[in-house]
Amino acid sequence: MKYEVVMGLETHVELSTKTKIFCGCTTEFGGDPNTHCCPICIGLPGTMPKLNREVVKYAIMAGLALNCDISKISKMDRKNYVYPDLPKAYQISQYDRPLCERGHVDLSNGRRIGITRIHIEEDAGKLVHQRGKTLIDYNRGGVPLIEIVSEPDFRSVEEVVEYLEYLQLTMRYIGVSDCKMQEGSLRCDVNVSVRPVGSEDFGTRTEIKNMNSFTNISKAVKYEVQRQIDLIESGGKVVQETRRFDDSSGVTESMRGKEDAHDYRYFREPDLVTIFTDEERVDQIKKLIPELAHKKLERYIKNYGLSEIDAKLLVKYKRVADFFEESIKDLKSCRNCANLILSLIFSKFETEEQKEKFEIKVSPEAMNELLKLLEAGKIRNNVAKKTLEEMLESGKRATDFLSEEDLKGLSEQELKAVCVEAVRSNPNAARDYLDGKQKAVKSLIGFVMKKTRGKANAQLAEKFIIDIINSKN
Amino acid sequence: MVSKEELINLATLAKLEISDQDVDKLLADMEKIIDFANQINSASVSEVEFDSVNNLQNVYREDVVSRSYSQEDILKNAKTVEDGFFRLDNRGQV
Repeated sequence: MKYEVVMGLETHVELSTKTKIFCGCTTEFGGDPNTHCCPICIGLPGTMPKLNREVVKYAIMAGLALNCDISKISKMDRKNYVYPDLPKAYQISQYDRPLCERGHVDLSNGRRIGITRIHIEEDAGKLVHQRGKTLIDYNRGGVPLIEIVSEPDFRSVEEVVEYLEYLQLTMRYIGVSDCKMQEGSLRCDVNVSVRPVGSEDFGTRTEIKNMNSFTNISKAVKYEVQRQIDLIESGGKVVQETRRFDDSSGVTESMRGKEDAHDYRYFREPDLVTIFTDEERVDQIKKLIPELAHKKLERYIKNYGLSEIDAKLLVKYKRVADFFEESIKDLKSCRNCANLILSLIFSKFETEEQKEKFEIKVSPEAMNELLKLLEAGKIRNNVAKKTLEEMLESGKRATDFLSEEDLKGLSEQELKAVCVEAVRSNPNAARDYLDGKQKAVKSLIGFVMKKTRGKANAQLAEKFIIDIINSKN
Repeated sequence: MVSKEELINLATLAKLEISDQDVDKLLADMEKIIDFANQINSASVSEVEFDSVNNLQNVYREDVVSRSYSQEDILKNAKTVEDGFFRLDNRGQV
């Protein structure tokens, strides 16, 4: 039988506010254990949570970027469960009045993934299991999270990965999270079920937790889908349960069954007041949202005439896109700029993170100056490359390296003169050319380039050289 | 009415061990607690659009870092400490 996969995602994104959601402790990643803590975030009795204004703003920004409706009235609730990573024995989260509802993400295959809701909540502490002991670090406890819940709209692993990449890029663009999977600031649980193709009903689903990379998500989902199909084919039944993905063995294993499903006994958090967001506030926040990556991509392809591959590479990192756009001000074409960034500048970075940070010694103004010289024909491509190399190395401007001589350009007359000289000083090459060795011209062009310090137009030089050789005979 | 099963389930969720003898006494207590809390249902809410705490809304703290406590202070009440961490004891307690 043919099966169709049905998946839904719950994605947790750590917000990059300076402080935790309910206290002034720093949200910085790492640090010695239990040094980013205070009585509020370790849940001491008698403490009161104080909601961070930026958390609400960031969550609404995320909601708007994902086409959500922003709830006029929202509130916080207590989600009760007893586990050592949660010192209060409840997590302050949102239950029936999330901040954002009914959004969507459009995928490249034309399918639309519905977003059910986005709510804010606090992260839990971190349990460290070592040598048979369990140690707890509460530095992460109280770090603000948004949970983005999707509809069960995914039909393939590829769709899941594209959606997550989209979320990651969008959150980075609006600046609400760095979404680093390896540091846990982007995490997701996947609900997976299978059903016979054509069936309208959903199969029994399992939830896979603990996935911290796109590769793991891919592997875990593929494994789980096959496991469910094999189970059904062999006459068995999928049980509703929570499963953990073990990346060393590549399999998913049962964590807890339906009978152990949590009974969270949600109720309103009495220590926090209503979050009220009117249209005026929503409009204010809307203005904070920059052009999003997918819009930029469309514009780069349509208005700048870039290829999809190049445009994608440029928009993938917000800082690169910003640099690119500032560097091409008042230029006729942005091709040179795109090429120099993607070939030369990118070759200086080894990791994705370095590209993300995009720390270079060249300012967009300096880049723009160089590009203008190139576009005006005052310097040629190879000179521009060499100059940019030097600029990246030293942080100086193009004009610090290029002499008056370099920038004067080369008139056709001057070029012709150099070509004549080239032919005269290399009689062998000229003869070889006449004997049918086309390649001989290359060495003559090389001579011209060297003589003109790279300022010559190679095509034009070739034409002149050939004319000169032919006219002599 | 609170059933015996509900009571035992609640105790389990709260990680409490209760003996059989305690169950009847706790059931009676629970009954009283719920009756007390139920008084709130008699309040008139027809004119209130959405309940709020003391009619307050949007009370926020600015996103400014304040000093955290020292590790030593944070761990002061911990039963067991190891390398700056809280350590769970055999019963899973902090």
